[in-house]
Parts: sequence; structure tokens; C-alpha cells
Amino acid sequence: MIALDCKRVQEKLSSFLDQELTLAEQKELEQHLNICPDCERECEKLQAVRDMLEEFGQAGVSLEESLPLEQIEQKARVDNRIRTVVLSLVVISFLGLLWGVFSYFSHYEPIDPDSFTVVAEITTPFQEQSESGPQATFLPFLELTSGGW
Amino acid sequence: MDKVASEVWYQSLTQEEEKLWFEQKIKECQPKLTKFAYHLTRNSEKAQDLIQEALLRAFKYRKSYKPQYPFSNWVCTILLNVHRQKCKKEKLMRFFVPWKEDGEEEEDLWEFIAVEGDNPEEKTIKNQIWKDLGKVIEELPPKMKEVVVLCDLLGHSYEETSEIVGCPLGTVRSRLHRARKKIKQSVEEKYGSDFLATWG
Repeated sequence: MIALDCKRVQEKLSSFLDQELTLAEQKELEQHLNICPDCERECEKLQAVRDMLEEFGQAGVSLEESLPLEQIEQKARVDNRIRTVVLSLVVISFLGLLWGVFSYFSHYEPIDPDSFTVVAEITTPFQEQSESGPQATFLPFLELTSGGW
Repeated sequence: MDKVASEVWYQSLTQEEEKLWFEQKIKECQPKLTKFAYHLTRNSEKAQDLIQEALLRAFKYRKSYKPQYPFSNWVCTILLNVHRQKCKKEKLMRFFVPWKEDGEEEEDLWEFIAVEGDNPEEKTIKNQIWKDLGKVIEELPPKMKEVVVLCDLLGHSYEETSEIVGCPLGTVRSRLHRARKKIKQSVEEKYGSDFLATWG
């Protein structure tokens, strides 16, 4: 029989502690632990971790009673309804957006600048100054070129 | 054969009997289920949602339950699947919304744990240890965490755990060993190397 080396023993320590090894393996490990203080120490530490976790698992979590099945079903139905409404709203908004984009592009006509008639001309003080020198007025004035009051 | 037996068993119940049977079974495994959900999520609200969704799914697919297996393990498998799906969704959501919203802070589960004993000092120390241990378990990779919760906290055997988690026995063995080693390392880093020798 080949003697187990420490690395292999330490890999099996958890299963050894949980008694999840075969009888032969269990015995082999026991023999090794009797002669190897390092592995024995490691085994004791893992045992402590295992005990600690077990105790932690047994510590009580405040249990809230679960709802009866009928209430769970009812709640799920309400949740489903909300989900359906939200989903429908999203779909409707998306379709609306699609329709808007489509109708905008289908009715789009490029603007012809010649089709406009000049109704009023606004001259800003800045323009006035640049065209007629320093005596320009600072107030903008509106010059009616067509139509009238 | 199993499927046929399951269907025969199922057909012998009326709808009312079926509901009663289901509620009875749920009541029996409620504490285990609650603990499992709490340890997976570390958040009471999320745990309640998880349980609710798992129970709904269990009721929906009740025909697939095989009576020769423990009911609690079957529901635990469903709960774990729901939890995995939720985690995937959360991960995806975190990708699109990487910041945390106000009030979304994780609730500390370990305040729910009642430490037994009269000595207040001892209580405080143990509470702190449980808090730290909870954090260590939380920080484990998800697959290791599942195995530790099932084997060490809930006391399932390796075989049961492999059925619930859906992986071979050897994988459970190695995951559990690696998880315990990580926990040991973290505890020693936090409380010193002699701490574990004095435990118990």
C-alpha cells in the first residue's frame, strides 16, 4: 500500500470529517493523521470551521410566516396584471413613436426658399452700424415692405 | 416507470386535496426554505420574494414532483434555480445601471439571528463572529456558497446537495473543501491563527 502524502490527505480532510469517504480511505487517513502533526492540526482547524458553520446554521433566523397559497396566487395575479399593463404601455409608446417617425418622413417636403414672400424686415442696431457708419441708431426698427397696418 | 408512478399518485387526488397536500408540505419545509433563502440573499425582502416565486413555481409544476424523493429537496432545487435566474438578471441590470440607488443598501440579515445565552458580553462577541462569518460566506463564489449553505448550514448530505445543485458528487466534495479552506483563512486573518483552536 502506498503511503498518502500530506497534500493528498489535506485535500480529503473535509470529506473525512463528514465521513463521506470509503471505509478503507477513512482508515488510511486516520493512520496518516496519527503520525503527521501538521495534517492533524489542519484537520482540527477544519473541524472547528465545520462546527462553527454548523452552529451558525442552527442559529435562529426570525421566521416570517409565508403567505397561504391562495394569497400567494392572488399576489402573483396582481403582479402579473401590473406587468402586463406596464408592458402594454411600453409597446404602445414604442408603436406610437414608430408611427410618429414614419408619418414625419412620409409627409416631409423640403422647403423651397423662393416660395416665401418677405413680410417684414428686421434690422438690428449692429447691422445698422456696419452699413451706415457711427451715426446709426441703437434701436431696432421695423420696416414694413408689404401690406400695412 | 417513475413518471408513471408519479402521475398515478397525482391523479388520485382531487383539486382541493391537492391544494391541502401542497400547503401541508410547504408548512413542513418552511423553516428550511426560509433559512436557505435568507442565507442565499442576505436580505429579508429578497428572501421573501424568492420564497414566494419558488412556491408559485413549485405549485405550477407540482405534477413533476416524484413522491419517492423528499419534498423539501425538490422545493430547494426550484428555489435555487429561481435565485440563479434572479442573480443573472441583477447582473445584467447592473451592467446597464451600474450605480446604486438610494435606499437600495443591503439589509443586514445577521440582526435577525438570535444568539442564545444570558451573558451580554458573550452575546455581543458571538453576534460579531456571526456577522463576520456571514460576510465571509457572502463573499464566496456563488457555486461554493450554494454548497456551503446546503451542506454546512442546512445539514444536507453530499448526495442531496449534488442533486439540488445539479452537479456530480466529486464536484460538491471539492467545492466544499475549497470553501471551508477559504472560510478558515478569512477567520484566521480576522481573529488570529489561534482562534480556531479555541473554538468549541
